[in-house]
Amino acid sequence: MDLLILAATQVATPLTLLCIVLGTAFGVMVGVLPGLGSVIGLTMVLPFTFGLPQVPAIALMLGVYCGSVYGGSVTATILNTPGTPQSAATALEGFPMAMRGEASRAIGWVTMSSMIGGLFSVTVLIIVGPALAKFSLMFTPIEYFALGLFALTCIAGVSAGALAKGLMGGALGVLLATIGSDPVTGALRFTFDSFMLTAGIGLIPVVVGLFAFSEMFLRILKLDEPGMDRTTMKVGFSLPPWSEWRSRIGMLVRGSMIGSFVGALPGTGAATASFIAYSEARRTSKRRENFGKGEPDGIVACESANNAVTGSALVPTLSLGIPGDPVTAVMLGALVIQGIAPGPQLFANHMDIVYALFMALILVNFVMFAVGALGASVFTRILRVPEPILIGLIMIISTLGAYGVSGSTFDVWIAFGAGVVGALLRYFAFPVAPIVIGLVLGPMLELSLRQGLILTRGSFLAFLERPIALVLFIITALVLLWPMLRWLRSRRA
Amino acid sequence: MAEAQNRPVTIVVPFAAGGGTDITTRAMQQGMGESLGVDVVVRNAEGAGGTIGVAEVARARPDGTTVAMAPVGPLTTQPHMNRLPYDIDSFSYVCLAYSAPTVIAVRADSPFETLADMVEYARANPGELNFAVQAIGSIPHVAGLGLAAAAEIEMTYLPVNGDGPALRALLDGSADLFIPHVSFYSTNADQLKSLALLQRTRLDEQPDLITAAEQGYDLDFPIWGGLVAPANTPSDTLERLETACDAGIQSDGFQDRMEALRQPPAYMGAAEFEAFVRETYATNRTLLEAAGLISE
Amino acid sequence: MQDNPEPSAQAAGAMGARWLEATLLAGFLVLIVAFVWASFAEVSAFARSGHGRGPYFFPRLVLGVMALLLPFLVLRLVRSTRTLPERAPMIRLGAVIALTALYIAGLERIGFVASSIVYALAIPLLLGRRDLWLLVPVAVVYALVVWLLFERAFLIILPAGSWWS
Repeated sequence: MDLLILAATQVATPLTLLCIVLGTAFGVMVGVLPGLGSVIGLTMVLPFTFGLPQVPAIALMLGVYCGSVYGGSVTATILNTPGTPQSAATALEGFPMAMRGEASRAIGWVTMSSMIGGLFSVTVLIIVGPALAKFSLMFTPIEYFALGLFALTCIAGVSAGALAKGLMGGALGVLLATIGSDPVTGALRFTFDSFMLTAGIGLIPVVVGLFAFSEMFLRILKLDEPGMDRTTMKVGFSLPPWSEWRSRIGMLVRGSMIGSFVGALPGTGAATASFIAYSEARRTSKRRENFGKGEPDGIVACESANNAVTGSALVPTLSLGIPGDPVTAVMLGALVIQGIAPGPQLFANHMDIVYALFMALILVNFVMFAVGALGASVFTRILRVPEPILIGLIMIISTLGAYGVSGSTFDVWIAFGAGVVGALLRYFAFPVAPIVIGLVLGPMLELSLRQGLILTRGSFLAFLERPIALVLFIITALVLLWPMLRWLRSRRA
Repeated sequence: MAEAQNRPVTIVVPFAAGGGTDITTRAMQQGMGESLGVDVVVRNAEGAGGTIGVAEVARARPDGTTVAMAPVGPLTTQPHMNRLPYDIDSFSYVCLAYSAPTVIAVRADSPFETLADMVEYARANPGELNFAVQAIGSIPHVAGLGLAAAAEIEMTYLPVNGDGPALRALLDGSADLFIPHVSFYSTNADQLKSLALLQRTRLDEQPDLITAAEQGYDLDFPIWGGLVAPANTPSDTLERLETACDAGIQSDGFQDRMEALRQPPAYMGAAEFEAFVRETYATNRTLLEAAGLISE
Repeated sequence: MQDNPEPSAQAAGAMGARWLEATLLAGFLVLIVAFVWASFAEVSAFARSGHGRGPYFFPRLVLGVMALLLPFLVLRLVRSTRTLPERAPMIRLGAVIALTALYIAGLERIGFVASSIVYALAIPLLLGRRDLWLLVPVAVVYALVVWLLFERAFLIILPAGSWWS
C-alpha cells in the first residue's frame, strides 16, 4: 500500500502529467502520418528521456507508444491509408463507414474501442503480468510455428468472396518476406544481384505503397463519378449510443482478449492481433453479411485488439527483459538507460516503479481518448479538402512515411512499385490485406519452423508431441473446415 | 566545405533502435554536437547484419556530414561472407567509441557451474548442447565457433534474431547457452549465470566474472564499434570529428549512461582504431573460413 | 464505368480488362519462375549442413503453393466481368503515376522542398483544377510546413538535392 502511495505521488507531479499529455498528443500525431509509426515516434523522444527522471521518462514513452498505435487507425479510417500494418484491418470497415458520411461515428467507435482495449490490457498487466510471462515461456519455436499457422487462417477472413486471390496475395507476401539474408544460415537469397535487396523488402514501404499510394491512384479513376456531397459529410466526433454498444460488448471483450494474449507472446505483435480479431469477428458476428461495408463489429474487434497489445507487450518486456517487437525494444532501451533493469527482480524490488508505470499507462489511455475526441474535428475535416488537391498532399506525406523509416530513397521506390502493383491488384478485386499478413507472418513462420526442426533434430512428427502446439494445429484445422461444416449443416436442414 | 561545416552531422546506426549500438550512439549525440557546434542526428538504417547502413556511408559524400557507427560485424566479419559494395578500405577511421567483452551465459538454474562442466557434458553428448546465435556471422557466433574449436566440442547452432530472442530461447528451454555482450548480461543478471568472460583479464567494474583464460581457454571476443567516415574525407574534417567523438565519450552524460548500462568505457583514436580494425579483420577471416562460412 | 453508353465500347473495355488481368497473372507466373530459378543458387557449406534445412526450403514450399493457386485464378479469369475504365481517367492515372515517379527521382536531385512544391501544384492542375490563386499558396505552404516538421521537429533529414551544392 505504501508503495502504491509512493507511486501515486510520483505520477501526480506536474512534470509527469505534462509528459503524459505531450507524449500522447505527439504519439497520436506521429501515428496519424502514414508510414511514421511507434518506432519512429519513440526514437524521436528518446533523447528527451535522457534528461528526465525515471517516472516522467516512462510516462513520455508510454504516451507516445499508445498514442501512435491509436493514431494510425484514424488515418486508416478517414483516408483508407493505414501507414502501419497494425491498422490495416481497421481500414476494412472504418473507411467504408466514413465513405457513408459517418466519419465522425467511425472515429467514435475507433476511439472508444481503443481506450477500452488499452485499459483492458493494463488490467491484464497488473493482475497476471508475471504469471502471463511465465505462461509465454511455454511457447517454444514449435508453438510459435503452430500459432503462426493459425494466424495465417485470417487470410480467409479478410478475403471473403475472393479466396484464391487472397491466398495468392498471402503467399506473395510470405515470398517477398524471404528476400534478403536467410535468418537461419545467413545466406543471401533472391537478391538478384541488388545489394539494397540484401536487407529485404521493408514492411512499412510496402504497406504505404499497397494502401496509401494505391488508394490515391484508384481515386483518380473515380473522380468523375458522382460521389457524395462532401460538404454534407459529418465531421467531428460522435460517440455511438449505448444501444449500439450493448450488442457489441462480446466483440469488445474478445478483441481485447485476443490482443492481450497475442501481445504477451514476444515476436507476434499488434498487426497479427488485429487481423486475428477481425477474422474472428467476421466468422462469429451476427451481422456477418455487413462486413466490408462498414460494420462497426469489425472496427471494435480490430481496435480493441491492437490497443490491447500495448499493455500486454510490456509483460515479457518488463518481467523477462524480452522485448516482443521493435517498439518494445526501444522502450526497453529507454528503461535500461534510466537504470531500470527488467526481469523478475523488477517486480520483486522495484514495485514502486512498476505501479507508477501502471498508473501512467491508465492515464495515457484516458488522455488518448481526449486527444482523439478533440483531434477528430481536425482529422475528419481532411475529408472536406477537394479530392484533386488532397491526392497530391497525401502522396507527399506518404512518400515521406516510406522515406522516414530508414532515410533511403530505395524504400520510396519500393513503396512506388507496391503502389502501382497494388492499384492493379485492387482494380481486379485482389484483396491486398493478405499480402501484409503474409509479410508480417512469413518471417515468424519460417524462422520458427526451421528452429523447430533444429530442436527436434529434423523431425516433423515431433511437432505433434507438444500439447500446446497440437491444440493449435487442431484449432487451425477446425477453422479451415468451419465453412465446410456450416455448408453441410445447411444442406441437411 | 565551409558550408558543410554548418550542416547537421548524421550518424547512421546500422542496427535497430533501442539496441546497444543505438543507445550508445544516442548517449554520445549531445556531447558530440556541443563539440562540433551543429546538430548531431542519429538515424537507424538496419538490415542485412548491419551492412546496409555501413554501405550507405561508404558511398556518401566525404564531407563529414554522414558518418556511421560501424560495429565489429559489418566491418570485420560480413565482408568475408558476402559480396558487399564496400571493404575496410572504403572508410576514413575516426574513433573507437565502445568496446566490451562478451560472456558465455547459461540460465541461472543451469546445472553447469563452470566452463569445464559444460565442456565435459558436450564431449559426452556431442551435438546435444543448443547454442543460441543472435545472427549468423556475428561476433557471438564467431565466439561460439572459437569455443567449439578450442574445447573440441560439437554444439547445435540455433539461430535466433538478436539478444532478446536469445534470452527467450534460454528461458523457454530451447537453448542451453548464448554469448551476449557483458552489458546485456549484467542487465539480465538475475535470470542468467556467466560461465566465462571472453576477455584475457577480469573487468574492474565486475571482478566476479571469471575469464575463459583462467579456465584454460584463450578466448577474447569483444563487441565494439566506432565512427567511420567515407574514404577520402579531408583530414581537418576528420580531426574535428575525432575531437568531437572524444568529447562525446568524455561527457558526463555519456559516462553516466554507460554506468547505467554497466558497459565499461573504451576509446581509441583514429590511427589506433584503424590498425585494430585491420588486425581483427584478418583474424576473423581465419575463424569464419574454418567454420565453412566463406563460400568461394 | 459500368453504364457505358455504347455496347461495342463496353465489349472492348471488357476485352481490354481481361487482357490486363491476364498480364497480371502472367506477372505472377514470371515471378514464380524467376524465384524458382534463383532458388538453385549456390550456398555455403555451413548453410547446407544442420537440421535447419537450407535457405531455399521454405521459399520453395511457398512457391509450390503459388503454383497450385495460379490455375484457379486463370479459371476465374475466363468468367471475369470487369471492364476497363474509360479513356480519360486512364490517361489521367497514367500521368499521375509518371508524375509520381518523376517526383521521387526529383527528391534526390532538386531536394524535397522544390520537388514537393512542383508536385503539389502539378497534381491538381492535371486533375482539372485551375484556381492557381489557391493552389500555389497551398503547395508552397504545405511543402515548407512539412519540411519544417520533419527537419526541425522530428530531426529526420530530408533529401536536400545534389543540384544545389
